[in-house]
Amino acid sequence: MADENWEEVAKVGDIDDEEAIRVEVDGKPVALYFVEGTYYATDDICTHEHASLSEGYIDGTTVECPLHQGVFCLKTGKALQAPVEKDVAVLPVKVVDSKIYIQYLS
Amino acid sequence: MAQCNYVIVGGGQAGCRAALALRDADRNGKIVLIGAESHPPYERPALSKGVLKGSALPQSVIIRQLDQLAEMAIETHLGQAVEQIDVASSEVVLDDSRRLKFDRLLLATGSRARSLSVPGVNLLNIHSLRTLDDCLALSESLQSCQKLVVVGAGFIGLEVAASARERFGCQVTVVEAGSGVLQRAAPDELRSAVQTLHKSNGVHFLFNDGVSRFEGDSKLEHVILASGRVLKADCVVIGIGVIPETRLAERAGLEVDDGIVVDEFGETSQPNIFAAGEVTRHKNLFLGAPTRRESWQVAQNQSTIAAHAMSGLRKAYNEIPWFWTDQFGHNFQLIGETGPTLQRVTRIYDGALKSTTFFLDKQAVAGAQSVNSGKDIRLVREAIRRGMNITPEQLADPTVNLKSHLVRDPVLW
Repeated sequence: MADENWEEVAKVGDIDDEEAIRVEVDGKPVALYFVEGTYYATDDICTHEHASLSEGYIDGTTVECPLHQGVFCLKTGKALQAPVEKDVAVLPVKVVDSKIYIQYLS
Repeated sequence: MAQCNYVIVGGGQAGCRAALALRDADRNGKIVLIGAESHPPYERPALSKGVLKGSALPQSVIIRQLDQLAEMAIETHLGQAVEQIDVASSEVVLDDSRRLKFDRLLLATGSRARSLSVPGVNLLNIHSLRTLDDCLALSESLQSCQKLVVVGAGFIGLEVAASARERFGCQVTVVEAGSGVLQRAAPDELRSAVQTLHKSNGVHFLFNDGVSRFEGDSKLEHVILASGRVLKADCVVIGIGVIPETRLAERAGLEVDDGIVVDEFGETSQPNIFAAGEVTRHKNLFLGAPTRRESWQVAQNQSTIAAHAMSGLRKAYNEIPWFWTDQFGHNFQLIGETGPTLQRVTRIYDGALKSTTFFLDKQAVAGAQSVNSGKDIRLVREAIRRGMNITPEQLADPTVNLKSHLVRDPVLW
């Protein structure tokens, strides 16, 4: 993928450890997570039903949906625990000069 | 070791999850899944919510398609009922008189909707909601329904009421024998939150009343209540609970007590017969006393425990009970102990309808109920398992981060 479509979404320090916030990337809701010094991003909406993963429970590098307790891997987006079966999309994240950028597919 | 013959009676969530768990545990065993419904195994929660509302497709509830099951060498006989279990010969007898031999049998027969035995109950447009076919038939009826009467203010009745308001804009009246909603299964805080939500969305309630008969010319026209009140109606949904489908088990001489009685491994009173899901009165080590639960969680996880026991891996069922319902776009959850004798502390979040009530047993968090705050439910699960050092004042304060109060290193014993 060409190095384009990076959108600035937050600043370092905006998210506490093991927490997440909801941001918008290319007009779509994205969950941005911070776990042990690393940022991860996935689509914010669960693949099961309409719920916001940024309001989920983060345990290591997984997030558990607040609605029905489906679990996804933050690194790969893989659905790890029912009722979710379908993986969630992950988005690339980078930090430059204390600014956090997320890349979207054009 | 010779190949083991596993037969599963019941093609719902519990039966399917058991089949999948069996295949994981025993690569070589022969697994036969028999289901009375003709659909591939599916989950039921969305039938009264997403599918009825139109926000989820009917296919989305399917757990595994038939070809996926076939790939795992799980043989399916769907649309086929089991007539009898021949315990002496270890065989099940199908409705076409065929006999299937088993070494280990699992009963995952679920429940059937309780019906009303009143005149007129067989009129057109009177529904119950248990199966995918029920859901599709009800959806069809609701397309042209202006006045819907729901009998029963339990979870199914309320979810149907909400879906009918949201998608079809029906006028909805809920008739309930008790004095309020959710009388059987919920703490006061949940009951009042749900009841208020329904009223503000235009659902009418008639409490302390019941149906004495239905009237109409082939098609439903009126619901006559015990009080004498007459309700005009185009459609009725009866949601007055379920009856565990224990008839096969009873005829086979298994111990039954409002559910097939099983221990914490899913074992019945008969050595080579197991039972799983909501048909069981099962032991859950977390709760102690045997319980029958109509929940996704039991269908999902107690069935796996039973399957493992069938394959020789005995592991006790020990799970914190958890339940959810979605109504009018709001999510309600219950976890752990939420009994009336426990101390309660409620934290109310700013903005939208969002709160959590914590239930404390001698200062320790023992359970919770959430309104749009599912993350707290997950934290309470952790608090019950690991412990949480927190005061009631801190629990009530929405700015206090619960996670930071969890005990980091669980006590070992």
